[in-house]
Amino acid sequence: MSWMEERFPGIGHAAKEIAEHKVPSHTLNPIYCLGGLTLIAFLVQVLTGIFLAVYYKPTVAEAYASVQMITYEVRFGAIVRSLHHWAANLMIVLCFLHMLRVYYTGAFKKPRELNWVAGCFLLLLSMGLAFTGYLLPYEQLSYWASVIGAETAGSLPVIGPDLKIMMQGGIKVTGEMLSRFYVLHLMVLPAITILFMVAHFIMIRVQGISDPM
Amino acid sequence: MDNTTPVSRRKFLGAVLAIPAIGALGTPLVAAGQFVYPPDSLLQPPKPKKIGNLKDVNVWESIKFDFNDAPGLLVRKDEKEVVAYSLKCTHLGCTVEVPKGNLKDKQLFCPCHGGQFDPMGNNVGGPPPKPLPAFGVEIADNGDIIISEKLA
Ligand code: HEM
Ligand code: FES
Repeated sequence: MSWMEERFPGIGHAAKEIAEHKVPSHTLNPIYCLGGLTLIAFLVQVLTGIFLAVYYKPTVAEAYASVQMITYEVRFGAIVRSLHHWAANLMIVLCFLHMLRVYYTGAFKKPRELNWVAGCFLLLLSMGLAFTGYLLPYEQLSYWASVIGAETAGSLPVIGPDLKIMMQGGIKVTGEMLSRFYVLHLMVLPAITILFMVAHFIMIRVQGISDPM
Repeated sequence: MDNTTPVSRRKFLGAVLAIPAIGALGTPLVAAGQFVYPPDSLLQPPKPKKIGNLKDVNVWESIKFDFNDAPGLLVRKDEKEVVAYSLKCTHLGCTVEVPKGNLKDKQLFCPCHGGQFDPMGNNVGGPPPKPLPAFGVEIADNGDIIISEKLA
């Protein structure tokens, strides 16, 4: 540590402050762990997702076959895929339970209004990741879920028709939609989610955890 | 009375710079939207499609077909006339069921919420608010039936 301390004076203190940060005793309750558990689920998604991306191919001809290969041929492929599947579901559940905790302990009130808003975006982003990921294996369930999603978006007033075309990349569900969802699922949504998480955590650090009811 | 607040040189120049700055940032944003919106070649209406021949279908009989990846129905009204419409229910989009065989005095039934349509595709009962959307139909000289998206 002294080698680093010599070059970056104060870094040891900062690391200590992060690692040994004190929290009030009322947060020693599992419901206060739900946000952190959501973060862990997200980290599992990032890690397993990187591995899945090594073999996955986002084209109509190859998507399904590449997922079959991951499941049945790649060593530990079935486990990596299952982890990605279950942690995705868990992330949504945990995120929602965390939101309930925040709601029922009144933690969204002044001065934490904006962190509640950031949290709402995080919930929407999590659901966006789940929805775009669902199309990628390009099996029957994926295809029809995406048809339903696009049709639902298309039924919105005013922006509906254009939104549907934007989602589908054309006038119906095709490989264009697969490309779009692939880009959203692997690049756009994770990047935005990470930005919102960083903002979420900075706000928690600055404002501290809310007082007990 | 002079109650105008003096604007400092710094503020004034800031405002003057803000306008081109918004333009410089906004233009690529519009371009990005244009980029992501699919090009015209991906927005072409589906091509007309031959779905059968007039001699394959007697009066009040029907042919089921796929158009643009969605189910449709053709019904022969009389010697000369046929109608074709989508089977996507105008309520919430389920696929409407078609009875087998001769459709005279029969009804099409939507399994989701009990919508009813007559064989011409008109909504006659249940929640559907509109008739089933019609396709364009053309009969070639040799009797081939060609379906196209209706230009409303
Ligand atoms: C990806 C999703 C999310 C992650 C990773 C996350 C993470 C966290 C973490 C680690 C905490 C610290 C306290 C705790 O764990 O209970 C926290 C607090 C908080 N979260 Fe979230 N969160 C997420 C979604 C949400 C949602 C959906 C909301 C509400 C709409 C929300 C609102 C808040 C608020 C207001 C606090 C401050 C609570 C307090 O001071 O007591 N978060 N979040
Ligand atoms: S979808 Fe056909 S009646 Fe509701």
